[in-house]
Amino acid sequence: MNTVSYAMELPGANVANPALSSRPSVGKLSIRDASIIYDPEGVHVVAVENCSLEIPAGEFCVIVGPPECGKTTLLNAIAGFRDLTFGEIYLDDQLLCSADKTTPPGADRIVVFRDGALFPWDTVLDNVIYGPVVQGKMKKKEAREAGEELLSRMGLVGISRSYPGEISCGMRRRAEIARAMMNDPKVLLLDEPFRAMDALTRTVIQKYLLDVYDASNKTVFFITHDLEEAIFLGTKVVVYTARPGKVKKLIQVDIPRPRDFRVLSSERYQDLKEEVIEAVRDEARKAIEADERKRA
Amino acid sequence: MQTKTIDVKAMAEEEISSVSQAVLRSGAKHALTTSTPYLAAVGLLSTLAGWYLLCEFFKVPYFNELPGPVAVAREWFSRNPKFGLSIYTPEYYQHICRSTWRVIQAFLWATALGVPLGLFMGWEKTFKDYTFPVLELLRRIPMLAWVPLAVLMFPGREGSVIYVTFLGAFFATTLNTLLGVQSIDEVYLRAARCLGSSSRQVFFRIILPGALPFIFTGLQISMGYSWFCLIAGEMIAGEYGLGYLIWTSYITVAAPVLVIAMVTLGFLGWVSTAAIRLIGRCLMQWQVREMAQ
Amino acid sequence: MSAPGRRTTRGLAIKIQESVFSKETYRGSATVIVLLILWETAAQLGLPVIKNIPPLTSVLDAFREVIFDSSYWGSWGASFHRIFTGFIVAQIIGIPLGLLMGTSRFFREMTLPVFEVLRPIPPLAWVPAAAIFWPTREMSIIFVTFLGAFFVLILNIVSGARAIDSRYIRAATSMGSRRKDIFWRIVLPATLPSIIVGMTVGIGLAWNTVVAAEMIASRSGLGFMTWRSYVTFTYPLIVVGMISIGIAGYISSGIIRLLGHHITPWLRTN
Repeated sequence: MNTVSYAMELPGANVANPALSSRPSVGKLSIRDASIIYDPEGVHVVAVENCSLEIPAGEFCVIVGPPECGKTTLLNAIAGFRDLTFGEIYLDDQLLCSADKTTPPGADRIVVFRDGALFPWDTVLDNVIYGPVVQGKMKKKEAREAGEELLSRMGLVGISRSYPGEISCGMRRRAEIARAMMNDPKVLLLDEPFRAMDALTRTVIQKYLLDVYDASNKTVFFITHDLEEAIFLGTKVVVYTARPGKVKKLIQVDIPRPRDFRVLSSERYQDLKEEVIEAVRDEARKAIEADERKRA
Repeated sequence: MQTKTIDVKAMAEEEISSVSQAVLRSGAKHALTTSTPYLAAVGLLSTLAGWYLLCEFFKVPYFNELPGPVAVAREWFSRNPKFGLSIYTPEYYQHICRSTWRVIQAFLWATALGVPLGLFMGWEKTFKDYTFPVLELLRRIPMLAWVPLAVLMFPGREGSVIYVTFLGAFFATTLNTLLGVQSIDEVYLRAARCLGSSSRQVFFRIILPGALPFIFTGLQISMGYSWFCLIAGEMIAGEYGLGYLIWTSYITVAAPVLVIAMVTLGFLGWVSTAAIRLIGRCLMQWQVREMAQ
Repeated sequence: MSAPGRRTTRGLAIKIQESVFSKETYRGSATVIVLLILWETAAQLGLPVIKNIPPLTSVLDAFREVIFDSSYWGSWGASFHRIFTGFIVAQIIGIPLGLLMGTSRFFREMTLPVFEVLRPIPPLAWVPAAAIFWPTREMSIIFVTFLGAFFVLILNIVSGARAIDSRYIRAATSMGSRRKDIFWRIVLPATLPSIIVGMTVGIGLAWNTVVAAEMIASRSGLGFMTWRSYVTFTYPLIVVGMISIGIAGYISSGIIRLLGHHITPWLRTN
């Protein structure tokens, strides 16, 4: 597969004046002292503890950490699938969730799920236009036209009438990203979206996501356990501790954009990678020991 | 930075269907070169031959009371049948129509009531809490144990036979539909909510299509049950119909008619399930195409 | 800590208590009680269709009488005898045959079409043919019961055996297994769940078949008892018969379920 870049025109990109497009105004996430406890009265499992994180609008923020450390739980809280036990989350300075309030899931913060959630019984086009049609923002016919246009702008040509089961895995994931972008969300939430792919497809899709990001400047909240992916994609890498999860280290990735694979062999990248590995390895070891203790 | 649009090679609608046709055609031709159809023919023919030899040729004791294929064929295809039933007599078709009509009625009622009920039970947990235990209790009673009560409840034979047939189909349909809803991966529900669907939209655009595969499996099973119960009902309490025919031909010792009725039943059962499968395939295009990959 | 606490007997007792006295139990029982009340009142009031059903109170009275009647328990015995004989014979013949069909392509392609042709014929349609063939009524009923359980079992085993992931067989071969090791250590355990499913569905079908066959062609058993109650106008006994059959069926499937649980410990991890 080629690794060429797609020149996309997406909502948020300003082709005439690229400088303007790098100053988005929406999508600032503010997590303050958030804690999430499963079954507080009973088993009392602390998934997330006093997590505080500021994600400015338009930043690509990547969360890494050992498995079962609460990263997905935090994402679910932002998306509205889970309640916070303590603390607050603000989106654009408006309260999104707190101990008393959970905003229901919505198109302003769309999730791209781990194993893909394109509806298998709808064609790719129907999947992509699902959001606007179902929210009543567009009539079916105009949505179809807009959907076709978006798909071609995003480099996905010829699959609009296929079913997800007929196209390749990489194609499916791209279509799912297109479905998310169709709704012009404020925040894009991705929960280990490339985990189930082979390494070759993954490299292509990573580049694709970067192109989408460069063109649209959405705020991205990306969870992964692949450290190289984290540094390659992110502006900021947040290292999470083992359960109960909290922020252990913040690493700014100052590699300039747009990035491509030459980045991977740069000195700066190697230094950052060492830094992240050191931080994560510590936590991974603690997680394994805790698991062994539980079984003993 | 280079810009290139990469187009995915995709086949147009017409191309897809013609390719699959070509595959099927070459598949059929290919199949004839393998041993599969020949082995099948060997199996079926040897069963037929065994039947003939045991019942008519060697007249093995016990087997010789049963009609052999020759006797059955002679009756079935003659213009002047000895026991009054062949493909040329109108009574044959009357019995077939009567039975088929009863099955259709019962099956349609069972589907019309069972599918919405199962969908709703899967969708609303409170509703399921109230209704599921009752369903499970009633299901424990074998459907055919209802026959005497059904005859009491519905004066006249027709109603009772249809009711018993309906029961069998109903439980199978409801439970399979419920299972279908429960089997839908939660991820799809979450994605739908993210994309801003209301509850009603989730029900019609996610739950309904998602449960469809299970629903159609359930419909095939319930069709099988329908025939099962129908025959019992007709044998016990019916007039006209293939079950009734089987029973009376036993009593009047019209043995070839017995076999004719059995074979006809088998054929009807197979055709009806195949029809449901076909409808399912039409409605669930996405599965068909995925499997063609 | 509460997490390890779940594993103690006290934790288990709490769990059972929670599930018995849960919301779900209350709601389910509520519906059952409401329906029972409706049954009684509707029968007394003489509503159409329902009025022909004997009222709840008369059914309970009939139950009380019949429990002390030895012929009632004799019916249980007769039906159970037929069920288990037919069912067990179906397993004895069906399991080896099904496994053979599942593993040998040659054999399967010869015999499966025959099965597919015979299967749609409802087992009850075989009753007269069986009556002609078998010397005693009893044997013909057992034969018909056997048929119902047999076909279901074969189909489940064949589909289960064919669905075995070939990776397991390859792993076994690469570790030096012979043909018979592969059969006993891989094929058989992997097919066990399908066998259990076939047995579970089969016992339900067997009960249906026995009950109907008894109504048509026998002078003993729970099915016969139920039908006779209709013919002799002792209507409350019909419902008694139905409930008895239901309970008997539940006991049988319970036995199968326990058996299945025991045989497949690796499925218990959930």
